[in-house]
Order: sequence, then C-alpha cells, then structure tokens
Amino acid sequence: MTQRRKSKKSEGDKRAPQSVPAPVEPIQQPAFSDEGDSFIDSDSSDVHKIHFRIVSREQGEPEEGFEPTPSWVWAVSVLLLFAMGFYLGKYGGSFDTIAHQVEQPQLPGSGEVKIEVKGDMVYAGVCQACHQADGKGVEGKYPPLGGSEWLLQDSFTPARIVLYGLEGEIRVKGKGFNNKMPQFHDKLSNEEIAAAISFARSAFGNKAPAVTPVEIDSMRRTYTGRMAWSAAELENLRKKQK
Amino acid sequence: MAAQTTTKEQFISFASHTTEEVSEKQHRVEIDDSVTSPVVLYFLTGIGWLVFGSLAGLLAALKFNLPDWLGGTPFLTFGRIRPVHLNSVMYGWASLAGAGMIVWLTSRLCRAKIKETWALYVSAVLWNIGVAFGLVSLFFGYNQGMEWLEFPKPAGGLIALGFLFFAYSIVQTFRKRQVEHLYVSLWYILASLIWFPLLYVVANLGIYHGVTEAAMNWWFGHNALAVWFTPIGLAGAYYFIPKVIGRPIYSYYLGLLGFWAFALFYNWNGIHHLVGGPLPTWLVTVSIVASVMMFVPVMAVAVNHHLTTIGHFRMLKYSPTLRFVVFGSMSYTAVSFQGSIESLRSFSEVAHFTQYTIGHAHLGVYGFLSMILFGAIYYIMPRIAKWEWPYPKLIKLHFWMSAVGIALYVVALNMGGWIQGTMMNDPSLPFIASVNATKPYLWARSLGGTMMLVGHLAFAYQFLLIIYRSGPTRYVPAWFELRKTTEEDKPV
Ligand code: HEC
Repeated sequence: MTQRRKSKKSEGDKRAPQSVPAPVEPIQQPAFSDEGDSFIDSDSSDVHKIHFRIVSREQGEPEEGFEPTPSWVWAVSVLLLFAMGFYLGKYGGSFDTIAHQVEQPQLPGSGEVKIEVKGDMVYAGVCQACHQADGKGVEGKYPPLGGSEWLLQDSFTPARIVLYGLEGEIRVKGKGFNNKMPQFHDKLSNEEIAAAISFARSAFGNKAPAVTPVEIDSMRRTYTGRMAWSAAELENLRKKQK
Repeated sequence: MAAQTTTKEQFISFASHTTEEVSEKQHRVEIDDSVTSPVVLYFLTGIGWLVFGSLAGLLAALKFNLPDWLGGTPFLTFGRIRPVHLNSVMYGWASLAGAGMIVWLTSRLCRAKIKETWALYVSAVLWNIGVAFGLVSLFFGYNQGMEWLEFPKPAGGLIALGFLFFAYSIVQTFRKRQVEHLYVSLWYILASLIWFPLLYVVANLGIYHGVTEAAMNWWFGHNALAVWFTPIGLAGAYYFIPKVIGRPIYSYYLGLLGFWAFALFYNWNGIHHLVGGPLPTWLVTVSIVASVMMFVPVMAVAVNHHLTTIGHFRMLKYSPTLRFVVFGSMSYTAVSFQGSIESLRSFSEVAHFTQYTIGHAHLGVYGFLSMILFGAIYYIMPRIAKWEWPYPKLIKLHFWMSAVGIALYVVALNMGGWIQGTMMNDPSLPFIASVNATKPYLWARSLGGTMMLVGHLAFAYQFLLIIYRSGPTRYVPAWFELRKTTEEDKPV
C-alpha cells in the first residue's frame, strides 16, 4: 500500500519509482542454501550461481495500486444493467414455464404454411450420395440416371424403385450392376419422392415428363409392405401394363 | 557462449542487496523449495496430456478433411477421438498445469511454505489415474454421452477425489499464511476451490432427465469454465503481469468490481447454449442477460491489466512470460466479448451449431488459458529447477507457433462457421452445400492445429531439459532478446 501510485504521469517512467537501496558488500556466505536439491548431475556450483541470479533479478510480489475506477467503467456498467433489465422484462416470458414464447413466427395469412418441396434439394440430400451430382453414378456400383431407360421409359418404374428399393442384377445403358438400393417409402413423403424423380427425369440431359405425388401415393398403397424389387419383376410389370 | 556476455564484475554488481532484501529473497527460495516436487509433478503430467491431447485433436480435425481416413479402426473414429481430445486437454493439461501454478502462486502469495505436501502427491496421482482411466474408457466407447461429462463415473470420482486432496493442501497453506492482505489472485483461487466441487457434485447427482438434463449439461459445461478454468487463468494474469513488470496492479477497486461481477453473473451463462430449445423462455432470457452482463467484469479486468501494462509494452520484447500472459489476457477480453454477443438470440440463430462455436471455445481455452499457463510455467520453472531455460529460440518458436496457430484456427472457424450458419438457414440451399462451403476453412483449422502441436513439442522437449538441467549452461535469462544491462536498467 506504500506502493500507491502518485499520478498518471509516472506511468511513462521506465520503472516504478522505488527508492534505490544503498549497495552493501557483496554477500560473503551464500544467501540461501542449495539444500533439498532434488535435481542431480550438474556441477552444483553452476546451479548455485544460476539460481542466485534468477532469485536476484526477481521483482517483489505484486500488490494492488489504489487508483479509482475510471468513471466510464461505471457508466457503461450502469447502462448495461438498465438495458438488460429492459431485455429481461421484454423477453422474460412472464417467468412462465412455456418454451418459445419469444418470437413466435408470424405466419403469412391464415391456416397452414405450405412448404414447397424442391426436387433438386431432395436429390442433393438423398440420391446424390450414390448416383452422384452429375447423375452418372459410379462404375460397377451405382447405375447412372442420365439416359437410363429404367428412369425414363415410364413413370411407374422409378416410383416403384424409390418406394420399395431395388436389388440384384440389372443392366443399365448396356452396363451390368449387382447391388442394393434402399427403400425410401418410410423416409420420404409422396411430395418428396415425386419431386426427386421429376428432377432426375428433367436433369442430366433427360427430358421426360414430371411425376405427381398422386401417382406416388397410388403406388405406395398398391405395394404396401413389400420388399426390394428385382429388375426382372419390374420388367414383367412394365410389359403387363402395356 | 551465453556465459561470455556477462562478466564477473557484472555478476557481483547484481548481487548487491540490502540485508532486508536478502532475507526476503531467502524466504522466497525456501517457499520455492517446499513446492518443487509437487509442482514439477503437476506440470510434467499436464504437459504429457497436452501433447497427447493435441495429437488427438489434430486427428479429429483432419477427419473433417479426410472423412474416411482411419475410419475402419473403431477407437480412432471421430466419435471417440473427439471426446478423448477434449477430456485430455481439459482435465489433463489445463487442470493439472493449472493446479501446479496454483500451488506455487498460493505459497508465494501467502508467504508460506506449502502445507500437507503429501496431499498434493496423492492428488496428482489420483487425478492422473482418473484421466488415464477415463480416456481408455472413451477409446473403448464408454461415454456418458454428455459434453464435458463424458468420463464414466469412476473416472470422474477419482478426479473429484484428487481435487479434494489438492484443495485441502491449498486451504491449509492459506490458513498458515503470513500476510494480512490477500492479493487478487488469491480471491479467484479460493473462490474456485469452493465453487468447483459444488458444481461437480450437483452435476453428477444423476437426478436429471430429458430437458432438465440438457439444461444441467450446459449449466455444468459452461460453469466448468466459469468456476475452474477461468479463475486459474485470471489468477495467473493478475499475478504475472505486475510481477514481471515490477509495478503494482493498477487498481484494487477495479479488481473488486471485476471479481464480484464475475461471481454474480458468470454462473448463469450456460443456458445460452440452448437458445431455441424446449426450455422455459425466462430461463434462456436470464442466461442471455447474465451473459451480456459479463461485459462488466471483463471490462474491469481488461482495463486493470491494460493500465498496469501501459508504458511497459517494451518489455514484451524481452520477457517470454509477459508475452504469453499478455497474449492470454487480451484473448480473455476478446473471447468474453465475443461470448456475450454470441449469446444473443439473433446471433445464436446463425452461429450456434456451426464451426463458429468451436473457434470461440478454442480462443478461450487455448488463446486465454493455455497461453497464460505457458507463460506461468516459463516463469516458475527456472525458480524451482534452479536452471535457466536452455534454448530461448525454442521458446520463441513455441510462442509464434501457438500464437499464429490459434489466430489462424479462430479466424478460420469463425468465418467458416458464419458462412455455414447462413447457408444452413437458407431454405433454398441443400444442407450439403453448407458442409461443402466449410472445407477450405477446415483445412486452415487443421494447419493452425498442426502449428500448435509443433509449439507444444518444442515446449515439452525444453521442459524435459530443464527438469534434468541439461542443455547449455546459461547464466543469463532466456529472454527473447537480451537487454543491454546498464546502470538504471538492471535485469528484471
Ligand atoms: C444407397 C445408395 C442409393 C441411393 C441413396 C439411391 N439409389 Fe437409386 N440405385 C442404387 C443402386 C445400387 C441401384 C442399382 C440396384 C441394383 O444393382 O439392383 C439403383 C438404381 C436406381 C434406379 C434404376 C437404375 C437406373 O440407373 O436408372 C433408379 C431410377 C434410381 N436408383 C433412382 C434413385 C433415386 C431417384 C434416388 C433418390 C430418391 C435414389 N435412386 C437413391 C443406389 C442408390
């Protein structure tokens, strides 16, 4: 507390003003002992010398000065306190247990919000992992969608495939595949499946008409409960429908 | 070669002191001798976990860039390596190194030799077994499934027990103190000794389910920082800045404001992680209010440290400790202000659940806490090992690798995370687009992480040298640059 600072001017000084102690004779005997030394393998006189210098150059233990708190710090604190009191009042939800009271979205118009399903998004989020962003598939693993007869010949086949999956040998654009595509009837809605297929039928150089959610729904109902198709089954169904 | 720069005459002139000073210095040496072994034990094991934890972190980071890499080995999958990283650096490195620093600081500030040294050994051993056991369980996939509380109960129990032994020794030392006035650092240390066990016990009661469990999880996660890690860092900053500069901390009153506002507001903060979650609105709002009010203590600390350092920035050129600690203390201001803003609903909507949060977390735990711990260790070790750091160049390497590494890390993830958040909120974009957009930023993050690891290796190597007193024998301090020693400018 004796270290109390005089004025801000002294801050420019290189070092805190301290009365310069009168030098005394260099200490004869060691000022401290090197006992309890748990470290080994060094010339102890070196260690002693080095340690002595480390200790000698150390500053005193820190203390607090007693400059006043700058007034702007108080001002900002009080201002924040007010602002946050206001915030608490406004968004505190009357300390009720209800969640989400703040910022209930104001729905446009009345009734339900209609969320538009976008085919490219469903494709990117679901199909792309296998059939790739360019619709070319992966050689020997995932068949292409661009120019695929299975996708384009009619609208029922792709609906069947996406709803209930596909397994076993299949030839697409003259190349053979033997893999498994998972079913999506339990993961995607009619709208999403229709959008994805319609997108695939119009992208990657394809030009086939869109598929409607109603069509998907009727397929879904007709085959409820079935497992993955095989290419042969699909081919037979297609011929019958003709 | 270093020895040549100091003549014998100079050495003798440094050695001239009044008898009063001599006895004070002798007392300090006795204190240092009393803490040597436990402190070295804490530091050594802490640094071990640091190196291990940084490796795990780097591995986890690279998995963002190379998702299939090492994916076939179960214990190296992301879901295991990530909690291994977190727990290793938090409960291993930061806690143990922090404990070591606290032991030394408490002893020095109480002007008393450490008491109950046996308890410190027991604590360090239990703690390390706890961390090792916990990490092995995580590798095998046993995980409690809550962030910051991943360790299975027995591991947590060992750590808690270790903490109690540690606290016992510190409290005993405090009770035998030989000063009336308690310096600011001691306030934070003692407060954390009361707060942290309370927090840990309440969090582990196991009576929470569903929404309450989520609330408790974040209350704990954020408060682990609030009542344990941050007080360690602040205690260090409050001690080493005035200590190295050699002038008192600017203002006791600012210290008081900072401490009590910290105690009042920080512990409410956790729930801001659940903005938009199914919690009572008022709970979230109160947490946001408290988070914004954190501006007050942070401002108080920042002003206090800045006004202490002002006019002495020149010393950052020489003193590694000061440079690390000032970097840490500036990061504290930055990370806290950032955190206050992040808690706001409108900001959280974009930034939360993105890489932004990861950047923020690292600015806190690395930019602030770890940098201060590095600085502290660079200061403490020569005093207890009685040996200078052999290679100042390695310290320099460590500083720049850590400083540039963390800066790159934080800037990259904050930018990438913000972009990711805006894209995730845009319904016209597929989710995958928001993932792809972060790729370059994630590479930059991995680069930053690699730099930090290089720094840690330099640090760990030199630490091993100093505890064995190997390497070149230096008679002058391991500063970044040596000062010309003139009459009015004697070494600090
Ligand atoms: C998990 C990977 C995977 C996903 C996801 C996937 N498919 Fe397939 N798909 C396949 C495989 C494999 C085949 C070939 C099955 C076989 O070998 O019998 C196939 C075949 C097809 C076929 C018939 C062959 C062709 O190339 O035309 C169509 C049409 C098709 N998928 C459309 C889709 C659509 C539309 C989606 C998105 C809703 C989708 N797929 C999602 C793996 C997948």
